[in-house]
Amino acid sequence: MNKFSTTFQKQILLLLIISGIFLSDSFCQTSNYPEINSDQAGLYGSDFYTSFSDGNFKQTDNFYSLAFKDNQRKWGKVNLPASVLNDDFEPWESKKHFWFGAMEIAILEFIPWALARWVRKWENPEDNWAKVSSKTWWQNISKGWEYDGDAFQTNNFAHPYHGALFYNAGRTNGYDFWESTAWALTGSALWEYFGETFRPSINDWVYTGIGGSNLGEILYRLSSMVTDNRATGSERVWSEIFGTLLNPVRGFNRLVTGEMNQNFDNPRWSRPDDFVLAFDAGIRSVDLNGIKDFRNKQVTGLFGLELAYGLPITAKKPFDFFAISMEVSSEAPHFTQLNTTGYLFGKMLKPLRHYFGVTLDFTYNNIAPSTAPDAANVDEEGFEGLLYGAAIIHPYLMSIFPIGSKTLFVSTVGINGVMMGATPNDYFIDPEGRNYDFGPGVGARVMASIREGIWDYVRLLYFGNWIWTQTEPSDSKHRVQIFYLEGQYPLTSYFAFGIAAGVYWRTSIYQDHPDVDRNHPILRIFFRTAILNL
Amino acid sequence: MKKIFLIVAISLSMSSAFNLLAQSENYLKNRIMVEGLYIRNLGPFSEVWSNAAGGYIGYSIAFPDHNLLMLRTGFISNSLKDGVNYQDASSTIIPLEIGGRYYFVDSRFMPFVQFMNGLNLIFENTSLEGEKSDKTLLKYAWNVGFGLTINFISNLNLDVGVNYQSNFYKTEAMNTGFKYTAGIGFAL
Repeated sequence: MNKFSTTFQKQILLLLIISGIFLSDSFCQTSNYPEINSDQAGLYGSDFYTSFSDGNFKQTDNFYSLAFKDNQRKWGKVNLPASVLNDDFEPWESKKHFWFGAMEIAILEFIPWALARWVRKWENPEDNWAKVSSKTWWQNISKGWEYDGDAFQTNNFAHPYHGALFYNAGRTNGYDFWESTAWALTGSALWEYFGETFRPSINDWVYTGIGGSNLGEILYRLSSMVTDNRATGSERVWSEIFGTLLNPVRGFNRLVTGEMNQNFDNPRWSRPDDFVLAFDAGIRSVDLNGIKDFRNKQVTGLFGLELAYGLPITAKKPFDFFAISMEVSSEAPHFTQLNTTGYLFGKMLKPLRHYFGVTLDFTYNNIAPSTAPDAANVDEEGFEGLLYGAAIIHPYLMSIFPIGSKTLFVSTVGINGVMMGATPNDYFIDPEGRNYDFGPGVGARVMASIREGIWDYVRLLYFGNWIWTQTEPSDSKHRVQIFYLEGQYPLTSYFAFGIAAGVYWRTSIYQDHPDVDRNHPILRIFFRTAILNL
Repeated sequence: MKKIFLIVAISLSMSSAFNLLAQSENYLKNRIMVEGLYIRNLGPFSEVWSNAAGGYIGYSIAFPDHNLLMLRTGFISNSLKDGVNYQDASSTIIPLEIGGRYYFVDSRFMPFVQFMNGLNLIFENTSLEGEKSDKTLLKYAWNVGFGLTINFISNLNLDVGVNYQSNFYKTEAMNTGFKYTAGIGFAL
């Protein structure tokens, strides 16, 4: 329990170093950032931009957002004037290429299958799930879906990432968001039925198909943003490398179709008018036990990234607006959070006052010390730590009320339609070691904030869901709630100090076992810097 | 096999002929659909309930040039396998589904692929093991397949399809099967 002394000192030292880097002129070049003044902050002036990120309202203007105001802007200076670009060049994605996409799906299926089939050393050859045959295919077709036994990280992150690759086999071959979602679902279904000896897993299918679409479109757009078709030389090489790292399928297509070597115009949509990127660093204290009389406090260093791309109020196509919140911890599990939201539909009910939107959200929250199969996380004391993962459809109503000349009160009220959620189970360990449970669910999300400029002075969040688990014990249900209150105080126009407190509260109701009620207090102290205008 | 080739060849020939006659008429429209269905169950579920029959009624919204959004409900009744002697056993399903079709062409003969999913409201008075117990279950349902829409006239069509379904029932006995449908659609 008491790792506090030396570990904490190291974390504080690291935090100070990072804070120093963020504060230094060489990093931020403060002279490029004009101070906010009352004229610029006029709420509904012509320069006023608004953005929303999963219930987080952001108010920015031209000066305070990393924005591509025309399609010639990129991550540096423009290398080539429009007059010398290849106007006749037809971008690969301007037409649909079904068979090329199908080939890429086949490659994406074959590589992990072949590695498992022929490269991986199996202690017991009978465990080799890649030994498929017509017999196993028919078994899978006959028996249908089940829930698999993979670790939380595998099911809730690795599979969505694989789905993002499937998705991009469609997206980077000329298909739109909805069509590419079908590509991801199809690629996943083919794998589930024909790539493994195991029965097809419904949780894999949903996370790979739907979570993969969410991540896939985000990676597609980020990759398209950092890639500059007009650049040459080393700038072009680096932009292609970063673009490929973000989206390997797109990079592969650009390589084999020769787009990497061509100079042509960047698509207008690839340069969003509004783009905000923020980093934070700090410490987090969380109680892993969740029982009032037996607290087990874990204190870790926490580093975060927040990104908002586009604006929901100007968005027309899916993911014209999206937002990401990611956190990395100094203690295991290091990859502790990845929450994303992407615009699907939206309508302004009353200009800059009431907005109705629907987003596709993906959540990955893991503060459980060990969730890997074979880890005895479930014992007589129950599950240690907290887990929550879900693919969610989120319709919401957002309302904006000005307070004075510069400040806004923003509220959102919405529904969480959980297509697939994952939450701890206190009594069950899957034969393969899985110690958490799956199921669909429904719940509510309420957020309120007081905002000035790009900073939320106060932010309040309630997130509640019922999850009806479908595996074992089959008749269990879980109420997962998160209360979170965060305050930020901007020390400069781009740097803020913040403190947050909250509780993750889980009530699990079992038919054949005693119910379990756990609450995990969470405390965070952090510095946050917004990189607003590169 | 020869008959199948012959039928396919005739269908393709007729399709081409109708396409020529049809000129550029648009057949992808909003429709009300009524279908009959037969399901050949698979796996452990089929060891008790071997097949099912029933029907759908639905409404579909066209999204030119290729897509159809479909909403449908219906009634499905499972039949006991020969040799299973559960007294007065019944298992009926009311499906509530949403999904879509992708039509490859918009012509008199329109082949399509289809995906539907939703919830099955299951009413049963006997468990798979034969124990009498009235239960109402709400389970996720999913099916995917292909088919053909034949447009007799602009407003009336015949629809045939084959689908694979993998609906939830119990982990050890999912409601899997092959579903054959035939019905008519009327354009509004």
